[in-house]
Amino acid sequence: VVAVVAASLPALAAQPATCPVDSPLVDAAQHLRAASLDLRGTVPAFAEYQGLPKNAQQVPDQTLDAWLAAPEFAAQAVRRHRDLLWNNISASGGRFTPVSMNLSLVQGVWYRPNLAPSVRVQNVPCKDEPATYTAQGSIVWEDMPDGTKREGWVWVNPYWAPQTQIKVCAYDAQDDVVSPAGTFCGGPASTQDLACGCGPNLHFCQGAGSQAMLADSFSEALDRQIHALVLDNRPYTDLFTETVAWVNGPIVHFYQWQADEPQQVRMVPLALDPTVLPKLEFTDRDKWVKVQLPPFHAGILTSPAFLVRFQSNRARANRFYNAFLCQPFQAPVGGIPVAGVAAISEPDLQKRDGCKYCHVLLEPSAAYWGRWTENGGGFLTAAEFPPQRKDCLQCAMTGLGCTVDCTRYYLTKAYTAPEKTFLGWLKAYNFRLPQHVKNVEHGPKLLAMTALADNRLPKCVAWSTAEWLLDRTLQPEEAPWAETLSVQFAASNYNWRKLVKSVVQSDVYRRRK
Amino acid sequence: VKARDIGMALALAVVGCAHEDVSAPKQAAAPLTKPDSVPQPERVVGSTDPVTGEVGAGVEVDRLPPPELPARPWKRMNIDQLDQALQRVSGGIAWAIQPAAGGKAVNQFKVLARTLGKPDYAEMTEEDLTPSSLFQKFLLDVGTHVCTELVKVDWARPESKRTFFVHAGPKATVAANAKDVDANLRHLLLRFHGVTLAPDAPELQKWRFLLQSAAKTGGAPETGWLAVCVGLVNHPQFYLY
Repeated sequence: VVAVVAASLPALAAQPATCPVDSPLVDAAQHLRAASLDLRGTVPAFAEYQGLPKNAQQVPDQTLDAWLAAPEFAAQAVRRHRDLLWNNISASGGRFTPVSMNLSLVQGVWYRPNLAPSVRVQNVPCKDEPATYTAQGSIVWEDMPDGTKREGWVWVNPYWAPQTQIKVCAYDAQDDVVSPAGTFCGGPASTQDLACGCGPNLHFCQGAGSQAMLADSFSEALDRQIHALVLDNRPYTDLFTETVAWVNGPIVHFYQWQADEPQQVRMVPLALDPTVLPKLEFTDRDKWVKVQLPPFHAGILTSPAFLVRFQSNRARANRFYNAFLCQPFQAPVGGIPVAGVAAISEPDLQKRDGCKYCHVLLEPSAAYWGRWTENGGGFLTAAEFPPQRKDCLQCAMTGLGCTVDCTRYYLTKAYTAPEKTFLGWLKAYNFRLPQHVKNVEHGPKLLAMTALADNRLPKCVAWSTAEWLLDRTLQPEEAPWAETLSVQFAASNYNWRKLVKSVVQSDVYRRRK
Repeated sequence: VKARDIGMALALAVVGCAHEDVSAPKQAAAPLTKPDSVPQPERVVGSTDPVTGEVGAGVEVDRLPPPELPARPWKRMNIDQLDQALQRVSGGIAWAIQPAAGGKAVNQFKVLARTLGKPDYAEMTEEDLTPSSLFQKFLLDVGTHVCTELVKVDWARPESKRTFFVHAGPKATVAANAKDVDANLRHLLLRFHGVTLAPDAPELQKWRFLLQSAAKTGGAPETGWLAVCVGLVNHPQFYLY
């Protein structure tokens, strides 16, 4: 059948060419088809073509309104914003918890390979037999002929599949939350205490793809923020100012059981109050609940997916400038290369030749995220992390009393003389000019509001939305039209649906080439 | 374009005469003639198409080409749109294939998303929407898959649920059921392409021809309709908008 069809297809080509002629304006059916694909992601139903009013020139107003109010359009908005926010953090999936807490399945038994040598001499699992215990309740270890020490396994109902039982090596299956020695087994010191395992139902450990599920959940949480905003028809500016987040089972589970572990992606100090989290199990993958966040949040700009996808403050500012201000950082022609060694020895990137063209703007912009942990999504409150800390200054001057907080978040080493001024200060204050200090303290919300006030944000959103729907870059001569769109966008209280509707109803959209 | 060429040709002709003999006494105006009998000026630039038009009656031409109004270029559907559009026009038939190991049929648009240019936003952040030869290959695959199923099941559906054989059945031929076939083709072109055609539209001819030739090659009218379906899916007016 395929061969017959394939052989017959050239018959079409053999017929006189009837390519569609460029029309001044497409007819209502073609307008309906284009709008349906852009706003709903599919072609119209046959009845919708038939339902077009006779002599209609374009899609009726009420049809567009209905489509824009439907969940299908919110789904298209999500897809559009993925193009802007790139919210896939799967590459960081395994970094929300320490590698040492990863469980592996070998020969039918689960164990932690990274910690195995500390108890079994080598990276080997336990014996494939039930564990035994002393009268005092301690695990019985057996010296094996291969020089290793091994225990047996126990049955556990893992949190990722609580209805099933799996074999877990007795050492890894220890279910104390706090060890007899007083160690919190879900914290940084747990791996040093041999009485700490994976906790009840293995809650402190990762296995069976639970890490990937967490990363995907954070990514989807951002999608849900976009979806809800468009579906609720709230002002587009809420994207950058709202203080809510969406959480599901894996996210809640992470905050409750694993957030205190020494992650590579640092989500501590927590940027939310754990008491607001709903009671969800890890397996509640598809149950989503909206929770209230503290006021220092700035919508999508402080969502875990955004912060982890763009892990440095410069990367965060750069994405915002590209996606929402249409202002990519680009040195002028001839700005690079630099003049010489003396020039590149300037430690302040706002002044260094070759760097200054971008960094004079990028540095103070990155400072808006100055209280958000890089390589993570924790928040440094002003109460706990004031701009300057005496203990960190002492650490910088004497090398004594250097806490993790100091070395991680404060400037404790100066490689050049100008940097010495900032020793003991929060890193975000390094080379900050007085007028930019407020950026650190007010966060990304101030950046968005500033860009709103000076019209850069609405102008860019109008421009890029038109380009998305037209699938081409706007030409300079179309600037007045884009300006009109941005003015209407602002006048509508930043109603994105109306902006999209204006573009879809425009002659430019209806004129196909 | 033709008007511009005519204008260029006339302008050259007039200028050429003046240079040859500016002092010659003016002759009486030549009688109006058809273009065929007028010596054609040498082509300097532009099209080699035959130039036609009334000469001497003051043909109005623009000195500049009409301004090109800003427009939207034809866009290729993305993978998700294509998946949804195919299901919409076929009444819910997806490009789903059962894995060799068995189990539930898997939507191939999901399996092949990366290959087909859908960004994952980790390694690829821009969608490849070119109608490349790779895309065309997959389109032929998906069209054949969905259409084979559609032609097989649609006639058995309740009349109100049919999406393909709405005005003609799978046994209908151009020779025996011309009116029904035309009605069905018009219905399909609207459903698949969003194109509204009049009953006597010349655009129908190529689809009739495809139906006839494929039915003859395959030895059954159903094969003709299958070819029409695959042709509709592979036609640029399906995957472009």
